[in-house]
Amino acid sequence: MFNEISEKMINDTYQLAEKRYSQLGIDVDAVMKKNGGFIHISSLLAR
Amino acid sequence: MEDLSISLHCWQGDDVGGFEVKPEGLSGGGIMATGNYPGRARTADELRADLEKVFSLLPGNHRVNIHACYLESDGKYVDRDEVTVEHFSKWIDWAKKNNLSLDFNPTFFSHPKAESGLTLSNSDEKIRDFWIKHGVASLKIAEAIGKAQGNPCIINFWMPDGAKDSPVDRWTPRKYMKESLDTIFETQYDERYCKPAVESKLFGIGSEDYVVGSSEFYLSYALTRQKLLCLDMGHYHPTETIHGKISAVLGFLDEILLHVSRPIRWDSDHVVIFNDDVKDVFHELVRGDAMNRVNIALDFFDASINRIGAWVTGSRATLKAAMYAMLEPTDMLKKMASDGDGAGKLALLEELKSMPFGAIWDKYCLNNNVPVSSSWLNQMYNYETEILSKR
Repeated sequence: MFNEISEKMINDTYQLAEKRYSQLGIDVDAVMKKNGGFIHISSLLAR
Repeated sequence: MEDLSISLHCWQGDDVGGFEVKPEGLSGGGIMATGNYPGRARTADELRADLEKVFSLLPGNHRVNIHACYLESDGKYVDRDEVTVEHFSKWIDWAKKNNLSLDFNPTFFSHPKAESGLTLSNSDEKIRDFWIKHGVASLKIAEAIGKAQGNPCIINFWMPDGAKDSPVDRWTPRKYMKESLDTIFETQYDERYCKPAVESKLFGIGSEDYVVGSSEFYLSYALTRQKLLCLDMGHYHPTETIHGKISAVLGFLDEILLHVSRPIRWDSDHVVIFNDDVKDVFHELVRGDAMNRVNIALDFFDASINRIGAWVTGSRATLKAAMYAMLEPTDMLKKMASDGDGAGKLALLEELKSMPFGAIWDKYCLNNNVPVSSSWLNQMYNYETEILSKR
């Protein structure tokens, strides 16, 4: 029904988008890996 | 985003029916799902299978939010004051097997002893005591779940108590409610594994004129008892939003619980979409560096559409809103605001709306091996053909 989007198309689009965000000082890769503290498990246990 | 964990409500899959053994079905007021789309989960096994399908379409590792009425009792009748953690052992085992964690809710509705519209605030001491026992039992279950999974189980207390028309005594039910909750929380529980929250509401079906657990009531209760306050996006006046409340409440409480929902005209619990209300909530959390002080749970149910589609749409919309907020140059905007550059701040906020956010979201889905963009719909249709349509 809905075509899969090729990995190449996703990556190509991402690279352009990542550049746009980096112009604003945003580290997109870091956002995807962490979030600045959206941690439910370990941090709450430590309180 | 990898640490982002949202709690998916189990009740989207079966229209808030639950699996209690009882002849009367839904009764007692408080919750109403509309629609009759085929494929509703009829058993806990079907519900868990549906949830597994949903999680296969979501990036990240998340939680499942269950209600006490989703117990499994091997065909035996177990009343609410008799529920124990054993009745949820299959849920706990399943969660462990699937690397998920659970949250819990006592069920104060759909029960003959809730027919009057008053549970913990009932003037009948026997009815109050019954519901207090249910609250205590639920607290113990939540603590046991938390210990089993090694992280806190959020237990949310929402009671439908209220009056349809012209109450002449708003005072006594609130006195009873406060005393009943205090009695429940006298139970010893380990806060490392069990975190109680209290949830207010503006009105409900049958409680249009008076709700015992109003916003003011539970804000006061949470502050004075150091409980989590639950902010549900649909539990305020129809045009009232919750994002502005977060910084106010977190100035006084360590943590809150959010119920991400979508009210249309009233507390309709429509499927969450990527709208301004949800984006505003996450912007507030990111701008306030408050992500680690908020527990995110979903609360919506639509029985008129494919329920897998409802779950996935609402969950992905919530995750998108979180990512969208994280991609904001917050420091830059704050500096513009503090420098008095109001026009620049406003213009940048507008320009940000047309940034290529979708490309980042798609890449995140690809990295997490879940379907990108609308291609997840293929799996929804296949699951409907192969599984849901045969129920």
